[in-house]
Amino acid sequence: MADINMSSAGVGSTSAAANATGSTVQLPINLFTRSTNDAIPQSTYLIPASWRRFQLSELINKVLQNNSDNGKKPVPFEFLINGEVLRGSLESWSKKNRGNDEETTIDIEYVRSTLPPQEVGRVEVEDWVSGLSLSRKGYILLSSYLSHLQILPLSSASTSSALYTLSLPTSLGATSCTWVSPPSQNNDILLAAGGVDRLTHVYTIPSLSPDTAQSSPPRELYTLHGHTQPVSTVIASESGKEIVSGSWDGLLNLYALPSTEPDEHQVAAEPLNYLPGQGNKKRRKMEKENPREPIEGLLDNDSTGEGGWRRVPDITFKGHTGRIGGAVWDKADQGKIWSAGWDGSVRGWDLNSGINSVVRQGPFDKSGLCIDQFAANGTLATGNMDRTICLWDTRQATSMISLTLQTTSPIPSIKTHPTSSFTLASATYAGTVQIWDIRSPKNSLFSVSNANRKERKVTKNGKVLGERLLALDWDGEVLVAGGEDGEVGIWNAAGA
Amino acid sequence: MAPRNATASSSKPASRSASTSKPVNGNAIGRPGPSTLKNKKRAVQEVEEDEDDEDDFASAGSGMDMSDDEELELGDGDEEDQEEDGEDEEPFPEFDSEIEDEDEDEAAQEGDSESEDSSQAEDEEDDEESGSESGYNSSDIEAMYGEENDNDEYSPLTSPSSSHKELSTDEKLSKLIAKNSIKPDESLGTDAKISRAKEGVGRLVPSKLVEGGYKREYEDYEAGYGSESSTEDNPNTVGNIPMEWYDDLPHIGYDVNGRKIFRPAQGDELDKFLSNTEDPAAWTSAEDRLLQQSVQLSDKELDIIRRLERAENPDADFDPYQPTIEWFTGEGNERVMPLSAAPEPKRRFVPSKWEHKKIMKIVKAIREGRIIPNKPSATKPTVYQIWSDSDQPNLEHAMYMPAPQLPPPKTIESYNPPEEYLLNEEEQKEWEEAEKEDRKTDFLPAKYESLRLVPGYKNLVQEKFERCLDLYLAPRTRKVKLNIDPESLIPKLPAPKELKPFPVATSVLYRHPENSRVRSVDTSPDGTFVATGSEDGVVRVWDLGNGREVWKWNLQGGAVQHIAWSPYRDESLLVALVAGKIAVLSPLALVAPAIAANTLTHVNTAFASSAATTKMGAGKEIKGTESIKWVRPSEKERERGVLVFVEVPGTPKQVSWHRKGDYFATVASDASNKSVLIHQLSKHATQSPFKKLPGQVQKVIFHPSKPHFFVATQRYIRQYDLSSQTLVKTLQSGVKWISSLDLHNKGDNLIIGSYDKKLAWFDLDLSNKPYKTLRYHTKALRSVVYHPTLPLFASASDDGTIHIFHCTIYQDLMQNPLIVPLKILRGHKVTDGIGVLDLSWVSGKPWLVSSGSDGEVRLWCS
Repeated sequence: MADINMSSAGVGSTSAAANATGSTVQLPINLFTRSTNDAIPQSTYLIPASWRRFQLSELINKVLQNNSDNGKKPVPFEFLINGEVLRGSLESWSKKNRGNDEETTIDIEYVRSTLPPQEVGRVEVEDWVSGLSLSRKGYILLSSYLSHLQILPLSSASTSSALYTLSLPTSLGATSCTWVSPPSQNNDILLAAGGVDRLTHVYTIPSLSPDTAQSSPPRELYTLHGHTQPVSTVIASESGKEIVSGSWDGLLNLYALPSTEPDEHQVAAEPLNYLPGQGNKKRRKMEKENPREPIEGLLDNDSTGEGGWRRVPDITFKGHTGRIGGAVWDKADQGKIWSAGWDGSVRGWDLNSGINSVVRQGPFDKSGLCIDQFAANGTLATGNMDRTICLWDTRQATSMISLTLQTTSPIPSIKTHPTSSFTLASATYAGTVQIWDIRSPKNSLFSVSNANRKERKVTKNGKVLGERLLALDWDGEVLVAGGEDGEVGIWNAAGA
Repeated sequence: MAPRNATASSSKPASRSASTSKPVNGNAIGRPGPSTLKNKKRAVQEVEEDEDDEDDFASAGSGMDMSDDEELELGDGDEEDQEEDGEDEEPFPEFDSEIEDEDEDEAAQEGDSESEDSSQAEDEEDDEESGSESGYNSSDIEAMYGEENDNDEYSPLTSPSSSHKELSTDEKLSKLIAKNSIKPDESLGTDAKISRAKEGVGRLVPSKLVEGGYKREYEDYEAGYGSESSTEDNPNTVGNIPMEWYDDLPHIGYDVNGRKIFRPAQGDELDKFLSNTEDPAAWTSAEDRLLQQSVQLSDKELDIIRRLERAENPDADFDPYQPTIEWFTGEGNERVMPLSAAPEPKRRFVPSKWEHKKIMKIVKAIREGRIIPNKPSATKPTVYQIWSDSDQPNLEHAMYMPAPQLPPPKTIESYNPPEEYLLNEEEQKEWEEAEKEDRKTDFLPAKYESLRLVPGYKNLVQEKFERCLDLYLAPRTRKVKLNIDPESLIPKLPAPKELKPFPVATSVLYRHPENSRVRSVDTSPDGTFVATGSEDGVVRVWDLGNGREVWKWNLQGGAVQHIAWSPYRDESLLVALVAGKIAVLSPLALVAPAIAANTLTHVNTAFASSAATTKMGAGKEIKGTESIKWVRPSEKERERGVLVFVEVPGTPKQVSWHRKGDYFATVASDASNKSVLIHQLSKHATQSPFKKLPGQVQKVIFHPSKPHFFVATQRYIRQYDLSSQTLVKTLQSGVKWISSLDLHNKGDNLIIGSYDKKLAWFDLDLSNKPYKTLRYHTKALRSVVYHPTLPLFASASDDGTIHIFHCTIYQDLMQNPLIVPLKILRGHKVTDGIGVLDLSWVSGKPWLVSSGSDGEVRLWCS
């Protein structure tokens, strides 16, 4: 105690003043952290109850001697008590949660603070945003229900001038998108989008540099068949050689992309309509003679409608009994993917053997809408229809759901921090972006609402705009989220 | 001396008792002793002497007929007799020899005892002859007085007997002769004991009535009343008088002969003192007032006194612990014949009912705690509670009911209240003007300097009278309050928490462009799409998960009344109703090609077969359904998935699919007898199953497994068997206007909602009346739906709420369905008095889709 008092004596005049008044209650607290860099000696401190985060943070910085003399910058800290972030003074927390018990020691965990997300821009999209990707630094890849795939440079994001706009040969809409080629590849970049038309469309763009854009137009390279219902998620391996798509029919299809462009289709094209007495041959013949009119709602007016090379899945993973909500490539083991389904289960699939190696069956109404994995420890996080975020321990012989974060609305998209094993970002149907620290499971660290809505009510094709978010991505610094409002919000959000 | 001679008294019972008792007499009283004494004291001396003689004879005779036991017992006496009475008995042989020598040869001259048995009859004869009766055995007497008999009492006994003998010798002889000639009475001889008991009393005399017979003549019985000492042995005959009367006289009374008994010499006080000091026996003597002398108390009398002092039985021989004689019980004493022929009373073998009842009453009281066994008696306060509220000491009485107490006086009633209690003039005036009942107080508060100045209270009598009247008229009864916990009357239902999952919150909104009223909503059987039909005439298909509108058909026929997905999963078919038209739709672009092909084949086959020639197409018309046409839509419409139009009369309001997805029924309540139509897709055929309808049909539904069809009119639900075309059952709903109807997937339970706010649950196996009628909505019900797989149902109402219920239907037919209210979902706004219009459960999930008049369609998730 003595040395702490000595060290804390210089914390500031606030503490001295508080002590001088005498009436201030002092609370015994234990300060600890899980980060080794910021650890301070374990002891019980008597802290004036009026202290807030700032004073506590200063205290720790004093103990760590993070001052300009040592050439270190003071670090702001967050303080978690019983899984709750300390927002007011210690006294108010104590009154709320402890009655007026001033004797029991309070265990306070402190973590390096992250700044609240700051909105840096907003991009208007013509329809609902269904998928977002930040895998390639500096660019936003988004898919929308207008069946568009857009690449936006992040720097000029607010201008909403798309670098590329790729149209799917359908007007039913795209549900997800992903970069296929690894970020290191700068030419002939592949990207994929899953659609309501049950197909995954793989596009190639020559380069991201604007000057080369004109040289060879981007085109659809492959059309991946095999699903009987709309595609819900598309992911690509790190190497960019494999694409896995999940669909409402409960299947996960693995497509190994050929290294060279093939010259024949693997499967016949699906009929565009089913009118009796009009075989596809005849139809096609007619089409050649006079270009067909696009079918309203099925084909977009400006789409070519031809598509790329049709391919069939190399491996089909069957197991989920409901819709596949999301899938994620295992971040440590490239031969494994994880998927969350509407049947409430989380399954791990071994790509080499094609078997379902792990099954974690939750309650049948805990329909998983999205899934992501913490890179640091392999814990899976799912966003669910029952308004929870669940963390699933992937190790054997542990409980299925290790932690449940309660929210107020379903979580359609979730993204973990690329390095931290504690923070994750989630989008909700209520229209908020939340950043969670799983050490504080009771409430999120930050919750940002896209409240500043535009006056648009209806998209250009008559769909109603709402506030819900459908897609989110976060690379640890920039966070993008979009959804029903037809906008992509861009925030600067660091996480630790 | 005289009182102690009781043992030797001549009265026969007494003497008999004396014979049994063992007299221990210090006095030398021989066998003749009593008689000598009696001779002195009694006037009946001759008789006594006779008796004594007889005793002597009897002693001889009875000694002979003694049993061996008695002889053994008294052997000592006999021996003594033989030895010591040798001289005594000399005269007997002499006398006897005189007689016996004459009769027969004298065998036993020496001792009478030796010839007992042989001469038994003789002895009897002697007894009879002499007429002497003896109550006691002579041997007993001898045994008693054997030692004393020897010397002194010898002579007086001999003389009378000898004289007697001499007198009766002739007679005796004749008697002996007669006796030998007469057959002895065998009964008497054989039953020795009985005869001997009888022989002692009376003597045999020749009977006058029976010739040659004898009868027994008895002596007059001399009753020995009272104690012998007082009656017999007392020589003084003055009786029980105060002896002071004789104090002045020289005598103290008269003896039995009337002679004076003179006062014995009385010593003076000195003599008394001397005798008291010198004579050691003086303290054991008592004064006999009657004889005016002191009598030495015998040991026996002293013993009696001692016993009386110790409150014991005065009889020394009385054994209080003598062994009981088991006459009727115990081993060997069982009575073969019962003493009574009465049947064994019931109480011997049946436990008493009344005892049992009494015991059970006590047991019950103990159980109920009214009786506490071994309860320590409540310690009563020893002091009177002077300050207790109830002034009564007898509160414990069950029926005691104290009169309600008067309220204690308040400050205002004081004779000297504080100033603020006093009324000012206005208030006083007001008080006086007010009616008596309206006054705040019955009196005017007044202030007095001292209690002495307080005047008399004029209302006292009146108030006391009223109080008495109150007490008299108020019925004082104990009102037993019915103490039922209202919680206990509520049926025990599981908590909603245990019945999770069920929908609790809105997760997804399916937004319609113009907020047009959405009349109908349905989810596809695989739970992926939601179809809605709104009043703008557009049928929309939505992604269930995120609320994206993925397809739509504008039917351009006015409001879409109802839509329903085909339950057949291999096809994707949707029927939408608009005015005058039924549209069969399929979202072909959204489903797998195989399913789309299936659907088209199913729906379009009939076009190819029947009316493919005509552009419009036509259905097969059956039974007067001429106005019903199956119409092929235009190619553009067909490209978008509008497969068939069926033109029907009226505005169809409801469509219900058969589970196999080929038939569907529509209801158009304004189409008179064609309001209920059943359509067959594969044949494009429509039939009207009812020629005449029982009323305005509201809803129809197919049975999930049987070929049954339910038709709900305004008040009744009729169950028809379609295969046999019969009416199976009519359910009486008890509601005024049925609005909605759903059948449980097992087909045994049915719920209806009504416009008069009720929901009725029917168990089809049970009754025609509802099993339960629930009324919880505040406005009309619009829709009731069972979950297709989970035990849930929901009802929607115009009050804007949706109620979710749990319903477990047990396999056990004996158990009633369990209905538990789970959740009220609020969120739909009420517009134009209409709230939630339609509901649909998502198959396989506890999710519910609802559509409202506010144009919102919501997905409620668990």
